[in-house]
Amino acid sequence: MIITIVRTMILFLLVVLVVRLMGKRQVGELQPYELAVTVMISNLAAVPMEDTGIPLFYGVIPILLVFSFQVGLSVLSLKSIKAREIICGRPSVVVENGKIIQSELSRLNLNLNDLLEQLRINGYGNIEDVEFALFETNGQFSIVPKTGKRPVTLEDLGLTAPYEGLAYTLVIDGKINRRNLVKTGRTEKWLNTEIQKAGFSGPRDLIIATLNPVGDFYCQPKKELNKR
Amino acid sequence: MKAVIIAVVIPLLIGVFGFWSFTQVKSSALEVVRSLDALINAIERGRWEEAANSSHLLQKAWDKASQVWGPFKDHDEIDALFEMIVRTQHFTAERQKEEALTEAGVARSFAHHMYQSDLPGVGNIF
Repeated sequence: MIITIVRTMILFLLVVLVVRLMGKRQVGELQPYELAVTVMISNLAAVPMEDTGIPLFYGVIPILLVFSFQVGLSVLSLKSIKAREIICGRPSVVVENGKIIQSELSRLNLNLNDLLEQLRINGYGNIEDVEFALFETNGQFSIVPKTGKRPVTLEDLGLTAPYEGLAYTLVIDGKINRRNLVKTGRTEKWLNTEIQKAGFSGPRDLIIATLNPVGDFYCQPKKELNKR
Repeated sequence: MKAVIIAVVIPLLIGVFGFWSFTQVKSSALEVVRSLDALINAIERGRWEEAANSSHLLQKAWDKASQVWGPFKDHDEIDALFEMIVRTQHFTAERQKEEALTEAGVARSFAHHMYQSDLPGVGNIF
C-alpha cells in the first residue's frame, strides 16, 4: 500500500508538471495532436499507478518522451507553415460569401443540421446573416456575419472611448503583490494610506485591492470584517 | 530555444539511459546464467559439494541481479525467476538430480529472456 501511495505521488507530480509545461490551452482548444498527447499521458500515468508489478520507469519514460515529442511538434508547427498544415490541418470554410460549401461539409462528415446548430449556438438563427463560417483546426466554429448584421461598434457611430486598460491587483487574500505595486509606480506607504482612507487598518483586512489605469483604487474587505 | 532543448535533449537522455539500463540488465542476467551453468555442470557430474557451492554463488548473483532488475523489469517476471531459483536450490540441497536439472534449465532460459526481451528487434517491438 505504501508503495502505491509513493508511486501515485510521483506520477501525479510528474503529470501536473508535464501538463503545466505543455501550455495553458483548454480541452476545447486543443489541436488534434495535443488532444492525443493529453489522453496518452493520463493513461500512461494510470497504469503503473495501480499496478505495482510494473516498474515506475514504464510510466515515467513514455510520459517524458510523449511530452518532448509534443514540444517538438509545437516547435515544428511554429516554424514551418507546411508542417503546421500537416500537423494541425487547415481551417475549413463551410460558408463563403453567404453560400454553403456543400463539398466542404461532405469532406468534414458534417450535415446541414450540424452547421445550422453551430450557427444557432453562435447567435445566428438565419443563414442569410452569415458571410463566412469556418471550422477551425482546434474544432471551434467561427462566424463572420454580413456587414449589415454585425453588432454596432463605437467606430460605426463615430465615437471614441477613453483607454480602459487592465486593473492591477495590489492585494490578494490579505497579501501585497509587490510586483504589481512596482509596475503601477506606487509604494507600500501609498497603498497603506489608500487602505486606511477606505476605512481599513491594513492589507491584511482585504480580500482584494486593485488600481485601474485611470488611478481609481478599489478594495473589498474579507468576509469576517463584512460580518462585523 | 528552451523548447528545442526539451524536444532534443530529453529523448537523447532517455536513449542513453535506456542503453545503460539494458547493459546493466544484460550483464547481471549473464552473471546469473553463468552461475546456473556452473550449478548444472556440477549436478550433471554428480558433484554435490561443488553444486552446493555453486548454489551459494547463484544466490549472490541473484541478490545483485534482482536489485538491478527491480526498476527496469516486470516485477512478476522477477518473482517467477526467483521461484525457479529457490526450487533449484532446494532440489540441489535434497540431491534430487532430475528435478534440480529441470528447474535450473528453465531458470537459465528465463534469465536469458530478461535481457533478450529488451533487445531492439522486430519481434520485440511488434
